[in-house]
Amino acid sequence: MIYILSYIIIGLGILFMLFGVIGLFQRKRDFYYRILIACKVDTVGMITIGIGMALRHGISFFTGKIFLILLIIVVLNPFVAHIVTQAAYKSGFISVYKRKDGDA
Amino acid sequence: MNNLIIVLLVFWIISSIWCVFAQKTYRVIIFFGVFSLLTAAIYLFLGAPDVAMAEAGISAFTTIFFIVCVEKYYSRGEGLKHEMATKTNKPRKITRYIFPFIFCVALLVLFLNFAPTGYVVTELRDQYLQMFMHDVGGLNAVTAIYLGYRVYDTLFEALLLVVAVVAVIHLSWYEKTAVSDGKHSEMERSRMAKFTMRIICPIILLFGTYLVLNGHISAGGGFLGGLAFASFIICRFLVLGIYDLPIEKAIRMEEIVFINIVILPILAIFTGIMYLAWDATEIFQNIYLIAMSGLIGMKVTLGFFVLFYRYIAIERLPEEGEGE
Repeated sequence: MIYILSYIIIGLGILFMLFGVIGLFQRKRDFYYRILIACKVDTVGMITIGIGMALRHGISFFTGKIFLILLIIVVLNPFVAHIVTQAAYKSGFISVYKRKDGDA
Repeated sequence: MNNLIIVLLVFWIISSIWCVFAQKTYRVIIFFGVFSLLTAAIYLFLGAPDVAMAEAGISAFTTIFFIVCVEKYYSRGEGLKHEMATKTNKPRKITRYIFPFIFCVALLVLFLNFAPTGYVVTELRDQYLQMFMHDVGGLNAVTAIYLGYRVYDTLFEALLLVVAVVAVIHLSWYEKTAVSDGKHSEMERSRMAKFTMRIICPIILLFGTYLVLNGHISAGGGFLGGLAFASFIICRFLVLGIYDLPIEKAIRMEEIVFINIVILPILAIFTGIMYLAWDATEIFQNIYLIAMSGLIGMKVTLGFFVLFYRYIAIERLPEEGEGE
């Protein structure tokens, strides 16, 4: 029973990642949208897959390792996206949509 | 041969061709990172997690290193804007992709269909795999090979890093060895960066210590631990803005550590701790392995730290009027 549940959760995580990849290519090629999508998808998909793997494996030392990795991902992934976006903004990169508004 | 490895190998070839034929410097660096990542994945699936971790760590390190160096040598960001502004209007000739692609595909086919015919000498491999626990100690065959059977190779690899550091120090333009002109990084003012680093830095330190102390039992070793420690120092340097680091002491200490790396295996060989000359050698073998891992870790930490510090922190183009 718990095996089926864990497989469903892992599949859900892969589905999240798939939606994100589709979303990356649907939008216009704007840097800010794409980094938002990439960061969200990575974080959410990895958390879901990690929880599924922990359920699949049961309570053991391995599960602790998975939760440590999840903790690091939750802390670091949004931080990295934030720093990259901030650097792009400070070095004067303008969004595609804003550029169009300025012209009009 | 696993199907996944074949897919990875195909992408590996494609990324290497991109890397050679890319038209902009930044693209070359990014494709080189992709190439290294795929290399690490292939190592992992072929059953060498140590090498895969080292490759991944070095690729992450060198990508940042190359980008910052290119940015510096293009006079402070002008290069990036120039490269982004210029459009390469040249029509892409497909013909120049064809020959390397055919060559690589042929190599791939040869590699996949490689079946050794006749008598293959596996004597040395069997000897290593059966006897390493007895001869060198530890549970990790890779560590046993590079700290036991092939220790002279390791000495020369350590010498290579020493030569690289010495070359960087003596060929760089900037003469001073400390930064005290009040320059601060952008990230230093960000509270979010400081908060995150306070959470992450202890984890990195713990991980590095684990890799160094556990290298002879599971995947890990001195090189990876050194990379982790170096990334810790660089994180502190970039985020917390600690600029007055004792670089002279670091250079001096690196030389001392290298002398120790040379002395310790020679002592171990000539006193017979290695290769089981007397009975209760297991504990001595473990002490030797951990000490060598620790020394190599210190060596790599100091080496990468000095390289990073010289190139990225204080190296800059000489100002006009400042003179040669």
